[in-house]
Amino acid sequence: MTEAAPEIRVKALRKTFGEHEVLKGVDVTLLAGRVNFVIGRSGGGKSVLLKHLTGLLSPDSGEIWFGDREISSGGSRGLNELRRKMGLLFQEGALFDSLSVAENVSFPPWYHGTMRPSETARRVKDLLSELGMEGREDARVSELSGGERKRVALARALIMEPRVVFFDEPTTGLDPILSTQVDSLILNTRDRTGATCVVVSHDIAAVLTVADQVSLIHDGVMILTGTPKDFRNSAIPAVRDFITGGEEAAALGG
Amino acid sequence: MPSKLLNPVAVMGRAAMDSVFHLGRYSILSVRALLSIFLPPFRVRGYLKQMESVGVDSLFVVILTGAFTGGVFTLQIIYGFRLFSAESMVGPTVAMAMTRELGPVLTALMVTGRVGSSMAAELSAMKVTEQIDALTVMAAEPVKYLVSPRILAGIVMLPLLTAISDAVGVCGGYAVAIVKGLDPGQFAGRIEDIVKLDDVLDGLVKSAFFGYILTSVGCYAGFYCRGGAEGVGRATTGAVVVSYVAILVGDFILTAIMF
Ligand SMILES: Nc1ncnc2c1ncn2[C@@H]1O[C@H](COP(=O)(O)OP(=O)(O)O)[C@@H](O)[C@H]1O
Ligand SMILES: [Mg+2]
Repeated sequence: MTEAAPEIRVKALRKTFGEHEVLKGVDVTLLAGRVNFVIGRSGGGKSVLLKHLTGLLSPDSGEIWFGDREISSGGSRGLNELRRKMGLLFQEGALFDSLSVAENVSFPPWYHGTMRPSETARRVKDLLSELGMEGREDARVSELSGGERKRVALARALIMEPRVVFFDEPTTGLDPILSTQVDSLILNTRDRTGATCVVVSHDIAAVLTVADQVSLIHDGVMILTGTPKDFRNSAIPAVRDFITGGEEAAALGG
Repeated sequence: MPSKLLNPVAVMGRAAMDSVFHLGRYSILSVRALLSIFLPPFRVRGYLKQMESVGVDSLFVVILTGAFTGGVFTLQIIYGFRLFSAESMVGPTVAMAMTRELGPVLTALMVTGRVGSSMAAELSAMKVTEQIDALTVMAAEPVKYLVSPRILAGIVMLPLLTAISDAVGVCGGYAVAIVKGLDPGQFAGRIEDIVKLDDVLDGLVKSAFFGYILTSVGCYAGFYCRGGAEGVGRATTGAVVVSYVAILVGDFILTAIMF
């Protein structure tokens, strides 16, 4: 692969909830058209970081640049313009429980009216079968298992073929076979549409096989950003803990 | 807590600041929702669905309340009016009370219990499961998609429900009057002379305002809900209590201005 351009640059991002300082000056550059993993301990602020990148939370201080555009610069209209090119898979799915599976997945194009209905229907079908959810189009969200919800939410995040896709723990709660499928879906997304993928994950195996770049958030700052190889060979104790912890869990069959 | 006892000024100041904060945020939300009705994209189906759930689904309870209110009101006044041989005034008094006051207020209170509370519950459940955030990220304005249809449904449907309640209430009063030995003509004869169209219309204007209050308060409580399942419960009760108070106080103010 050729040298990748930066897609998103985060500078000195800080966020405190009450007394609890979650992000203490995060600096990271996420590469265009690449799979960027963000890993870190549970409760370490990964979801909070994604919510800043999508404008759901605003920082106490710091900047987030998409290309040459600061996220807060254009007001809510500018933000919505950026969001039309984003997809976000929420950690808990955040599916609309008043709608069916197919209505959930087709919601973004339906709402914006930017896609012909036949095209929307085709994409819904393709995405759902790619995720092993064919034939469940008319199911209600309340009838789905956790893993099924996650896959429907993934389809919803991808249907508009966004330029940047954020995945919050896409494989957590999936069995190993489905996890592998989701990993290859992420790679497909990158290769087919050239999308920038930002993946929050705990899955060390996926980090080493799927990621183009890895960033580790620890104690509110990014302590390492580099290739999977840099990550594996790092001598930083927190990084080593993370890798050996993951390997131990894998050895125990987790 | 001793600190609260020791420092009542701080406690009152806190409460005042909270009220100002909520009132400000509520006003912004409800005005934005109203303005968004006129902005594209127009998704008519969402509006119709809310009108059905506010209007059609409330019909039964509104009819029931209207009939019994008109009936019991007649039962109460018929005795007193007989003392003055004013039987011919029973009908007009019932009609006046229903159209100006009882129809609009009781309908609004019933619909608050049924619809305002469920709007608060539904939106707060969407809030705590991040569905509202999901809309935001899809650049689908949640205020426009969720709040506008609900508020418009309240403004449009409450007057219709109130008109039905008025009519049913007068019929309920009529039935009771007949049972209590009044002539049909005695009950109905003077209603037309005494109750003016304006009385009815003013009542309907009030009810449109109540429809705005109960839906916007329900949506506000849900939209800014915090704290999981417990928060959903708190939002729902809060919406009902605040709507009740706002409807009764608003009723007093509007009545003082109108009549
Ligand atoms: N809206 C919020 N209000 C208060 N605290 C929050 C909020 N969102 C997240 N937090 C806190 O921030 C910390 C990081 O959360 P999160 O980003 O969800 O962790 P994770 O890395 O597991 O995704 C947690 O301690 C959480 O309690
Ligand atoms: Mg998380």
